[in-house]
Parts: sequence; structure tokens; C-alpha cells
Amino acid sequence: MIRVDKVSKRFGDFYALKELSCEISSGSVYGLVGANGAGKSTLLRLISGVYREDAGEILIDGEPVFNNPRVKQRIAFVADEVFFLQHSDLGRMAKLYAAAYPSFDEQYFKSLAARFKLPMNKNIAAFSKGMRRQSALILSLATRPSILLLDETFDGLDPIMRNLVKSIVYETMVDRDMTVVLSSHSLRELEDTCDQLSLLYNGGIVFESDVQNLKTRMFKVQIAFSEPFDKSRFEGMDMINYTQRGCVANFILRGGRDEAKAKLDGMQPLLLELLPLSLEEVFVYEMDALGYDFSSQLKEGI
Amino acid sequence: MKSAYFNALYKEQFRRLGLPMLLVSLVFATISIIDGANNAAESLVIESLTRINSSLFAFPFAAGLIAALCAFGTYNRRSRCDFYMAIPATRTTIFFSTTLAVVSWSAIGAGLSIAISAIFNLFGGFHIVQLAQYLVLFCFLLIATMLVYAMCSIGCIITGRLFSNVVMSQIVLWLPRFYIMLVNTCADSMSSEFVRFGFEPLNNSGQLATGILFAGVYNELERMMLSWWPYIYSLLLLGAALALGCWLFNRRKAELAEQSAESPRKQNIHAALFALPLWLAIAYEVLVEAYWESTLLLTLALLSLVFFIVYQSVCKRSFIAALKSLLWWVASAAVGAALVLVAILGCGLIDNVRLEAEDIEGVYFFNSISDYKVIYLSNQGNYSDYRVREVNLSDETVNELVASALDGERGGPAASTFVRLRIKLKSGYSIYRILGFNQQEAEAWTETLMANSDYQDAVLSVPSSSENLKYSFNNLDDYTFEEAERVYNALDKSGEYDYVYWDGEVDSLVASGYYGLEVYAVRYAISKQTPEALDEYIELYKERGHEMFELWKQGFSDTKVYSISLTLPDSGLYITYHNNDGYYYYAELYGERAETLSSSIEEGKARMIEVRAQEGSPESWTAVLTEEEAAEFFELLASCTEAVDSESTRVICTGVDWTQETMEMLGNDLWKDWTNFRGIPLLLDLDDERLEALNELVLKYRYGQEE
Repeated sequence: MIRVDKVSKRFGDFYALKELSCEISSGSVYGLVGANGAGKSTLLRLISGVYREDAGEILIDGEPVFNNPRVKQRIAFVADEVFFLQHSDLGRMAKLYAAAYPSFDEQYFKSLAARFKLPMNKNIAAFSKGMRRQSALILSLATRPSILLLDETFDGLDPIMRNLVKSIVYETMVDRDMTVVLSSHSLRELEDTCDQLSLLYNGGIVFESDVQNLKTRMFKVQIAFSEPFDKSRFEGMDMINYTQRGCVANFILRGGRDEAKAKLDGMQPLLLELLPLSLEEVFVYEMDALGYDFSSQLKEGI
Repeated sequence: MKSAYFNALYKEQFRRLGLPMLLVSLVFATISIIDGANNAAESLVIESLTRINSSLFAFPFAAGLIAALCAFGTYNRRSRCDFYMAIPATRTTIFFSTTLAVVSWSAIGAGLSIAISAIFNLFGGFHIVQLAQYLVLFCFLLIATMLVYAMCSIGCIITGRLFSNVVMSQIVLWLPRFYIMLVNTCADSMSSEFVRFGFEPLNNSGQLATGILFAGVYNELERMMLSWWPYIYSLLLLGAALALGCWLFNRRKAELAEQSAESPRKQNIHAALFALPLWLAIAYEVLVEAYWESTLLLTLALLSLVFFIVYQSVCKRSFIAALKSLLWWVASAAVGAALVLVAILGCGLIDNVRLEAEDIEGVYFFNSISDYKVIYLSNQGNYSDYRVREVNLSDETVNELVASALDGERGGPAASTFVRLRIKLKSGYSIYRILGFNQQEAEAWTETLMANSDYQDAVLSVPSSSENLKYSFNNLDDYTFEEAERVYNALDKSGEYDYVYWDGEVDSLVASGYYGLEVYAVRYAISKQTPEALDEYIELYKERGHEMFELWKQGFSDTKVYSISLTLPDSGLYITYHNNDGYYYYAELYGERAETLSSSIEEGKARMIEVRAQEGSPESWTAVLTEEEAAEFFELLASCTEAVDSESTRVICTGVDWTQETMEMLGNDLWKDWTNFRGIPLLLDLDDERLEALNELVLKYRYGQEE
């Protein structure tokens, strides 16, 4: 388990993370979502031991990460800006990884390279952006990590490659009980992949939840009555974002869907519809309820 | 597992550093080839360690800096930094695996260049340094390179961009030594002429890296290379620098990549350090030398401002931001002044130390006040100085002399002799001073000191041949170790005698060795004043003299150029004889002889003898000899050299001599021939009869008639 406890990280006067806490269970896929500058990459670098926290602690199975080879040899980090030696090919990079990571599995690496159809002897500088990301990923996977940290790795991959990457990651998770932490600024990207999601904003986690729970525990209600009514009719229900136009009301309801339907049916409405929400809409409404203004983030594509 | 991992990392670092270090090695290997080829073309004799390949003394600075930039400048890029900081290795492991790779490449680079030089020198045929000195040169260059690397690494670790890497690495390398040099200069300036501070551990040439520059300037490079103490001190400094570098690397934040400093404050501190050396110079001029000439001071101040602004502008990427930090430039001035004040205060406190004779437990001299029998070579230590250091003078008279000398109020003529001493106090502390003496004081002190039997024994002692000595003659090349040792053992080493430099010296013998960890070399004149040694020397010469003289005569016939100079007692003239086929000489010929002999010269039948007056004499002319005259001259010389033996009343030694004009006239093509005869001595017995005959010949050649 990865435990992040009140971690703060500062760059000069700017706080990238402020007393951030979270727990990531072993064998799960944990997603970090947030706008640019929210602190996702910083958190991943802290977990991988690249950065040292200014306050708080990060423990992996009870041990600190920074400057701890015993822990770090279980971690593979694929950064947003991938690193390759100049004028190197995949073969040369494999040698570098083999020297740096004692657990590097050369045979597995070659099999992954074959699956992705990546040439071993071609200069990596000639690879496309997507191929470079694939290369970085397979090099990291070949180190046989128990924790895989991916920083916006899926960006730049075409849908087919994205699915291939996901399937390989899942295979590895099944084989080795690997924990995956990935970041993206796209909820759509993470929706199908992650077990848990957290939204980072201004250096902290403002919202964290199980993905399935997120999707099912909130839905949109459209209801109409023949007689006049107002919001008080729905007193006792966990409701947000209520709007009414004439005899039709729209609101977002939290809670069990069946119980809510039963209760609303009991009110004898003229019209009743319970509509599912996309993950994006769930996040937006939840943040709105918390008082955060995400209109600018919406423009950036969350 | 751990060592296997370290090995794997080391190999990877070795591979990573390969290209830049290989380039440096190849550059210096190429320079070595060019240097070696030049030496061979000029037939240069390699007679000292520093002449093996003088270009190599730049190797530590080039290789050390490049190694540091490549080893730690690599973390300037964020992606690379993220990778290396994420791998399962401690920072210490990464640091030392990298350092070991640098050691390997430095050894390869230095070794390759030295090996190339050795090949050229050995096969060039003019090589008289011992082969072991190549190993000394290798160790020297390796340690110096590593020291430069370690200190530059500190500068690279605390900054995250190439520009700031380069600047800060040079600050770390040179600023401490610059300040030490300033303290030494301050101490010298502040103390009286007769009392100076003996801060020997802070000697400017004590550290192998920066010492290359200072020792080279002061001609002490070879002494530094052949003494143990600079190596020990440098290794200690290297260990400290590596430890500091490792500690800093452990603390280095990965987010420093692509930043010039970890924080704005540290950035400003770096810039202030960059401006500091000039402020130190200004503060020194103003506070120590009381120099107020505004032009120089303003120029230095402006320069420091330019350094500061440029550094800040580049690092902060903004000229306006650089200007906003100007207070730090002012702070740098304050720090400079403070440091110089600290130096002044420290030196002043030390300068004001006054002692009573009762405070002194004992006095150790680091060198003797005057030499009795020997002249030590200027770039190597004196044997008797080392012996003197072991003598603890606890004589009351000496204590009183020392205590009174320290008040610095002695007047009279300027000091001409300096002695460094350690004064051990009864309190347990020791203080170090350099005392200066004028001639009268030196004599008075010598008389007092020589009354001490231990001191006398130390001053008059010479190294025993059992002390693993090496020998070399000034004029002879062809001799065995046993022959040289025989001459050495025959030198008069007991008692004292007046040594007069250049008076009747036939040859000199240098004996060198190690006293503890320090090298020394002492030079003994072989003359009529050392009759036993002269006998041995002549016997040695006789075994080879005839052969050499025949070679000399043959050379006269065969080669284009030859030159011999000999000083004739009482004649006041040098005779320089050379064989020349150039025609431009006869513009200086005298009178009718010029016309007569110019055609003989053209036909290659004449030889010329150039006679030049000794220094101070207006006489300077050239004579030309015919074949017959030359034969006459040689015949007389041959009789002189055959006659020499231990009974000779007057023995002189000749050697090759080039005058400035001769060199200019002969041109470069003729150098090769000259070196064939280097080192051949001609011993001549010039009794009154032969001397008169030689003088007559010279006068005949000069005026064309017998006088």
C-alpha cells in the first residue's frame, strides 16, 4: 500500500502540494486527475522518490521512499517527458535499464517490443511521440515493478495502442498484483481504466472516490407534477443543483437509485426520468457543491 | 548483489562518460604526438620531469572540468534527472560509481599521452630522465585531474544549468586558493622586512591542481612533483572535496534541473561569490597597500559589477531581475572588505607576538643561514636544510637572539638571507616565522649557531652514499652509477672550506635523494680544491676523454656546426670556435684577411673562429682560420687534453657554447648537428707554457701576425 500523509512540496514560494493525504491500495488502479499545475506530476515524483517531500511522509508498505533502493527497485516511473540516451536504440536503452534495475527482464522486454512492433536497432530519435511513449512503457514494465507510475502516458497514443497498453498493464496486474497510479488531465481517459479517482486542485485532493460508486451514486432527475410545487416537496433527499421551470424540475440526486425511484414514484409525478451522469458531470456537480469554480477547468478539457 | 549493482552502474557511467573523455584523451594524445615530434626534430634533450611533455600540465584542468560537467551537468536536464533519481540506487552509489568512472578515464587519458611522450623521448635518443619519473608524472596528473574534478563537481552539483555549472565550478576551484594567496601576500606586506610569517602549509604551490599554475610561475613545478607532501595534502583535499560533493549530491533537489540555483537567495549568493575575487583585490589594495588610485579601483569595481550583472542576467533570464539584485553585489563588496580585514587582524595579531627568551623551549630551523660547501639547486631542497630541521636548539643564547629578532625593530641594511624557523614555546604552542638577515647579522648568527655542535653537524653534513642517492655530472653523460659514486665518495666532506663559485671548477656532481618525504639535490664542485675527487674525475675522464676528443675532432671535420668555448685565465677572452659554411660572416672580418679568406670559406676550406670578449669588455671580433691554422689550433688543444692529470697545475674544462649571434647566423637546420656533441667536456692542462702558446695563437688569429 502507498500511504501519502500530509505531504507538502514547495518550489520556491509556490506550493505544488499542501498537506495532501491519500491511500492507494495494492493491486488497484488509481487515477489522478486535475488541470495543469494541479500537482499530479509532483505527487508521482514524490511517490517514485525523485523528489523529497518538504513536509509529511510517503510510505510504501511502511517504508519511506526517498533514497531507499529497497523500495525504489519495486517502482517504475514513466515520466511525462521520457528520457532516452542520445543516439541510442532500444537495445542500448535495455542495457541501461538492465544496469540500473537488477530485476530487468530482457526476454520479457523483447516480447513486449515485438507486440508493439517496435524496432530494436533503430535510433529512438526517429520514433514518433507515441512510439517513444510505448518504448518508455515497455522498458519500465520489463523491470517487473510492483508499482507502476504513469504520468500522462496515454496522451499521444492512438486508440488502438491505448487499448493495447491497457491490456498489457492489466495482464501484468493480474500476474503480479501490480499497483498502478496514473495521471491525466482527461477524465474520459481514466474512466474506463481506474478503480479509484482523485481530483487534485491547488495542491490538494478535493475529491476522491471509487469510480463505480461515483457513477452509480449520483444521477440526474427530471420530474413534473400537475399541481404547483417547489423544492420543499423533495425535502429529506440528498439533492444538489435544483432548477425548476414551471411544473418541471431538474436536480441531481445522490444516493441509491432504486430507493430514490421508489420515493419519487410515491409522489405521483406526471413525468419522472432518472438519467445517468458522465464522470465529468459527476465531478463538476460535486465540485460545484463544494464551492469550487471549475468553469476554467472545463474549458481545459476535464 | 550490492557490489554487482555498483559494478553495473560503474560500467554504465564509464560508458556514458566515454565520448567526452575519449575526445579529451585524443586531443592530448595528439598534442603529445606533435610535442614529441617537435622535440625529436629539435633534438631536444629531456633532462627534467617538466620537459617530458609540458603541454600535459593543461590536462587536469581540461579533463577535470569536462568530467565534472558531464558527470553532474547531466542532471541539468529534467528528464535525465528524473530517470537517475528514480533508479533503485542511493545517491552515494551514483556519486561514487560516477567518480570511479572518471578516475578510469582520467587514468586512460593521462596514461595514453604520457606513453606517447615516452615513446618519442625514448626513441629520440636524448633522454636523460629516469623512467620512474614517467610514473611520477602519471600520478601527478591523475591526482591533479581528480582534484579539479572533485572541486568542479561541487560547483556543478549546486547549480542546474551549464553556464552556472561552469562559473561556480571555477569559483570553487580558485576562490579559496585566491584568498589563501591574498592572506600570504597580506602577511608579507604587513610584517617587517626582518620578520615574516612562515605559513608553509598554505604555500601557494602546495596543492597539485592550482599549484600547477603557481608553481610554474615560481619555477617550483619540478620540486612540487618530486616531493611527497603536495601529494599527501592533495589527496587529503581530494578526500574532503569528494566527501563534500557526495553530501551535497545527496541533498541536491531533483527540481534544481534547468534552474541556476535552488532558490533566489542562493542564486544571489552565487552571483555575489562570482564578484567577490575582484572585491577582495580592491579591499586588499585599499586596506593593506593604502592604494587609492581611483582609476584602477574603479575599473576593478566596474568589472565586478559587469561579472555580477552578466551572471544574474543569464541565470535569471532577465536584465531587470539582475538589476533588482544589486544589493547582493554591494554585499559582496562588504564581504570582500570583511575578509581582508579578517586577514589583516589575524596577521596583525600574529605580527604583534612578542616573546621573552624564557618563553621559548626550543627553536627549530627549517633551513641553514648560509651554505658552506654546496649550492643547492634552486628547484629542489637542500640536504643540510632537512638535517637542520631536526636540531632542537634549546640554547639560551639562541633563545635570546630569536626573541630579540622578533620585535622587528632592527635597522641597518636590507635583508639578504632568510631563514624559516619554528619556535616551540613552553606553553606547548609553536609559532612559525621567517627571519631576514643582512650580511652582518647572518655572520653573527652563524657564529652563534655554529657553536652548537648539533647545528654544526647538521649544516656540514652531506648525504651518505648509502642513502640511496642518484648522481649526475654536469659535463659528463657517459658514466656508470658506480663511477659517479666513487667520485662522490672522494669529495672532501669533512670540515669546511671556502667555496668560490666558478673558480677553477672542472665539473660539478649533483647528488639527489629523499629525506623522509622530501626531495633534495646538492651540487658539489669538482676542482683543485677537492683533490681526491678531481683525481677520481680525471681518471674517469681519461677512460673516456680520448674517445670523446676524437669524436670532437671528427665532428669538426664532418659537421657543419660546432662550437667550443673556453675561458683562458688572464686573457679576458672567450674563444668560441665553430665550423660554419655561411658566407655572411666575412662582413665582420678584419682587414685584408677578409678578402683573402672569403674565397676559402666559399670553397669550404676555411674554418672560422669567433672570439668574443667577456662581459663588460668592448672587444668583440671574428677571426677566420685556414685549414692549417685550424690544424695548429687543434694540435695545441690535443696536447692540452692529453696532458691533463692530477698533477696539472691548471685544469679547465670546456663545453659547447652558443652566442646569440651564432645561433642567429647558423639557423635552425644546423641544430641537429650541435646536439651530437652536447656534453662532451674537454679537460685541458693549461700550464704556463701551453697557456702562453694558446694566447699567442689567439692573438695571431686576431691580428694576423704574432705579437
